[in-house]
Amino acid sequence: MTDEAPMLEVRGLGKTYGDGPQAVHAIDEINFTVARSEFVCVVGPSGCGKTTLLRCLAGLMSASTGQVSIEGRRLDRTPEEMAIVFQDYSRSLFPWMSVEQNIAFPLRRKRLGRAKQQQLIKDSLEAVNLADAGRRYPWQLSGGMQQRVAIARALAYEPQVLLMDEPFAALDAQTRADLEDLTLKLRHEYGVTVVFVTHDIDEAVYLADRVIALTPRPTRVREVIDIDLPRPRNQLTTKELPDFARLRGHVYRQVRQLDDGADQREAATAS
Amino acid sequence: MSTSIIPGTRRRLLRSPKFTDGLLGAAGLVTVLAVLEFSTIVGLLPEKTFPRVSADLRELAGMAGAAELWTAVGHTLQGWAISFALATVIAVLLGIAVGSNAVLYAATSAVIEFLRPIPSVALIPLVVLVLGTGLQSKVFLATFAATWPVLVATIYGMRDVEPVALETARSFRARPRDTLLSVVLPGAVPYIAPGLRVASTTALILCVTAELVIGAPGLGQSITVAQAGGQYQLMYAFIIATGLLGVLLNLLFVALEKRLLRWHPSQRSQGGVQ
Repeated sequence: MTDEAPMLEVRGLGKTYGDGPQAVHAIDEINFTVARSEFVCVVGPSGCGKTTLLRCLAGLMSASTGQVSIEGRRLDRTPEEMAIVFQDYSRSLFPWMSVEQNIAFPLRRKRLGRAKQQQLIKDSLEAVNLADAGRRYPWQLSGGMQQRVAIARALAYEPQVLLMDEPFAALDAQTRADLEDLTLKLRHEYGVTVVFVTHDIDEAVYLADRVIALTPRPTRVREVIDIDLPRPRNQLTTKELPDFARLRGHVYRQVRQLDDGADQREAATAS
Repeated sequence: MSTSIIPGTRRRLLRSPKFTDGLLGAAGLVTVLAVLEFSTIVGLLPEKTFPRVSADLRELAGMAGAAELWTAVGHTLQGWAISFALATVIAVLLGIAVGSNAVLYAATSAVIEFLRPIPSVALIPLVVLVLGTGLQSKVFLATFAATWPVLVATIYGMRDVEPVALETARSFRARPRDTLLSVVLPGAVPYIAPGLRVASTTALILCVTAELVIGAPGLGQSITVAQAGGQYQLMYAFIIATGLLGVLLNLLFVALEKRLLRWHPSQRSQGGVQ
């Protein structure tokens, strides 16, 4: 039975903050599933409750209605099989710990034995191309390197699901492109299921197998778009494909809630 | 408007080299000593009660080899060490409990705010009555006074832990013990470390006060004895020794703070990329 259950299932998820007249209806109702080893990007207009959704997916916040299940098990806290990469790497990494200690911290509970733990740390640092940074401290590294450390920490935890909350939003374009490709490479190597929340439509289309486009608050799923672009993807050639432009345009319209004629009208009024 | 051609140049010249700071500090100290010395020489200060500073320092240098000074220093340091250690353990444990429990915080903050402003010295008569005039009284007074700065710092530190760091620990299902010892407490160190430095000074002050007032053995008692015997140079020598002890302890704690907080933005002098 659990073999057939999707890796992640969101059913009837809703979230309202507060009650009475001050209540904020953040998420109306969200349904979707994520298959094993799938790469799903969640995009939506600014302030549409992406963070709320992610926190509910992560088990860091309880939903008002509905539920999130991982392999058929309803989750009430972050499940064992899940690791989260937060947007704010400089606060998510512990500055008083070296890079190695940061990666080792989530492993403590697992009591893996020293050799196995060292191996996981070494492998994960190599996977993110930071093999020599183990002894350094996060604040001695650039922003992109810090986020790679956070990714290494998540990988060493050996998760089946990787939840990433706008992980590259604070980075410059060049670094962001590099880390997107790194994420794709790691997904391929580790076979991990990725749920990637972003407000960047290009990024979503470039990375995902499927894009889930959300509506403004109170949030619902507006459309689920299959991204059938060939893999491996490439920052240049993939983005030059007519299909990329078509999908990007489609997702853009969904997120901005434009019908096919609306963007032309918008362009006309702008000029 | 500013007349400086290159902004920041002037500040940098005055600030950057560490030895300039040291030099200025030394110059200030020498000036004060010279003014005191001069005031005694010209009769501005009566020589009987204000012997020349140079004579006081000679007296102190002369005592450097004598057991009398070191015994007194030893007594004072013993009281300081015991009360500082006690205060730290009590305050940090209590601070963790109060800082991590909203109910306990609400229930105790009024009590803490009431007890904290009581000057330790006001308890001297009571303490002498109950504990006598020995080490116990000294330790009680110094511990009482030194606990507050650490306690308050620990409580604030516990309540100001980076939420993302806490959430990260939670998302990795860290055990409460690991979260407390490796995330919450280190995150509170920027508060606790200055608290410890203040507590160290407070403990020393209270130890010397106890020695002065209730006659427990130590530098404070030596100062009173010298004064009662009319040996003013000796008295000043002990006073200077007490001051030097305070300076040394403070330097020790500044260094410790630097070491403990080398990851903190306030202490990061080098190595950062951004």
